[in-house]
Amino acid sequence: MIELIKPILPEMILFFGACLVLLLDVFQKFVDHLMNLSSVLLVLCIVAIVLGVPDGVYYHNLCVISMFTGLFKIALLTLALFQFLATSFLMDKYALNKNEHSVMVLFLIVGACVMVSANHLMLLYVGMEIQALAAYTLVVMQRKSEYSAEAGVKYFILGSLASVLYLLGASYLYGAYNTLYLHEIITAIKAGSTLGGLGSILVVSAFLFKVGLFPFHQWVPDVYQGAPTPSTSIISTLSKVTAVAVVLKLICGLFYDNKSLDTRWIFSAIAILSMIVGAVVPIVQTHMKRFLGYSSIGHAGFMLMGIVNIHVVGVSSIIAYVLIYSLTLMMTLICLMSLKDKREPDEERNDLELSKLGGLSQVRPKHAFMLAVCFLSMAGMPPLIGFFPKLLILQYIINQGQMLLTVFAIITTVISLFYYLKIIKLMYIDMPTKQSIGISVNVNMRLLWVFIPAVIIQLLGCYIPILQTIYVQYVTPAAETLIIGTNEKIYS
Amino acid sequence: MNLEEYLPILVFVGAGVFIATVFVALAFIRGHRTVYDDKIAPYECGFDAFNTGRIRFDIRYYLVAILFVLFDLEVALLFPWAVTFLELGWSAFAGVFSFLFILLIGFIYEWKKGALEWD
Repeated sequence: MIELIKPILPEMILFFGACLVLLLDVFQKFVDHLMNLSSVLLVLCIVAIVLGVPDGVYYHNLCVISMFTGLFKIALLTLALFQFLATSFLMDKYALNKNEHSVMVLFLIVGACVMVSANHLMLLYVGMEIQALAAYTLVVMQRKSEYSAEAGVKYFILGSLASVLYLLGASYLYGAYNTLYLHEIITAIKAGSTLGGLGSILVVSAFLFKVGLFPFHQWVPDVYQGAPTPSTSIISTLSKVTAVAVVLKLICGLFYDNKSLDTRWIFSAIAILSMIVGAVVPIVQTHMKRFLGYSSIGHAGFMLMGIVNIHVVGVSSIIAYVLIYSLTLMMTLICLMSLKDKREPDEERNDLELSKLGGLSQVRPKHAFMLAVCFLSMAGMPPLIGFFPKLLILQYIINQGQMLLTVFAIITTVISLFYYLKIIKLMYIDMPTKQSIGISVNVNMRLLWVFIPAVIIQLLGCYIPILQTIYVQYVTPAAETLIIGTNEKIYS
Repeated sequence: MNLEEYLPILVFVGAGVFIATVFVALAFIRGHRTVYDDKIAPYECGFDAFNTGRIRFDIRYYLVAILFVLFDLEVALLFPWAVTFLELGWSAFAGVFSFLFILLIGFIYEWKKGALEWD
């Protein structure tokens, strides 16, 4: 029996644990300790993945366990753990039920793990829906706020559009190859067919939507802004990491070594246009979360450059980029969360106007320092960790001879440095006003338990050898399982 | 691309569209229409209409409707399983009971949250 469920033990732990937390919350038992229980579940889950089954396919080829899935699942769980640790004493400021919030995060991770492991288009769809429904619920969780509801409805309608694209693409693929198993489609698609090509483009574009790339980016700023900040930090990191994992899996499978379908120009165009949107639009934004939403479009475009020519080096640098970027974004949002005043939910929308950050370094020096480190890291300044993946991707596309992409990448990065520096100028040079956030906040000192590791991680960029070890030992093999191991090693 | 096999479906869709258009057009052209107040007034079980159709009403109606759909679908899934119970064996049994377990959790949750109360 235990052998039977062993491959999905992590998902089982999370699922039954989430049900348990939900019931304990509704019966009013141990209400104050349920977030700690959720954190313990995440740790158990990480242990279950590390000690889990050997790489391979399970349940009649439905589920893949490999270095790649393990890496992404552990990254998701670690990000969620970080969020739980930080928010367990911040959530009281929000008009949210924190236990239901953590239940929804747990369900979101269940869906995300299913998506990362799935080897069948319908199983992938089920995972995507579990994940998306949990995300919609997280956005509308602040029930008294109309902005939260507006963002939730937008996210729901546009998200169902992505589901429609995916299902249409999956049905084309089924029509072309008479199978829904990903590895069989990957083998069959090399022969090439118009229907199959159309199907694979549609399936991939559904996940480009979830990542928030150029033609499908409109929902990102609206949802980020309307959602309560704890939910924003979950959606912008966990959902994005999952979507990037699935995009990598699908693109490496469907378009690698595919002579009949040249997708290079599509992905180059998407990457360039996303980077332009992410470089120009944030300059005029006045709201912090909206600003972060637009800049995340630019980062997603930057990431996508690594996959224009499919190669192990590009894929592994994308993995490094998405993990480091998500961690930095989550730190930024946790920092903003800790500055929130306790107020009515309807004022939440204006809570994070950029002008309110004026003079933050005098009001809250630790927070200002933390935010400045995060922004510089996102901009890719050398001593910080954000420099490392940017270097990897630029190096890769220059080696591939993609000069047009390189030029656009460098120009947009320089522009983005301008707006990140603009915020740092606001915090460090401008004077605080009565409107500034953080004046009346009673900051919990326990937050230092999150801030200190965060700054240490950011400063790891000073010591390249350790990053290089991690990169060579874990990230590159994960990328290799995705490309080289797709057919020979795993499905033998 | 081999799409000839889909030709019957195209013919079927075409025939469907054609017949529907013809009937609607016939009714539109040939139909006898008289419009008077009583005919276009909203009809409410023989009463005069109390109000317009565009008033707000309680969200609990929606809630009950959603719960009804949920448990209705559960029954729709359980019936075919129950009929073919002996042929399907233990794996179907496990599948159905994991489904029922999830529904049970949701049911306990909604009950304790008071979604089933009507006051």
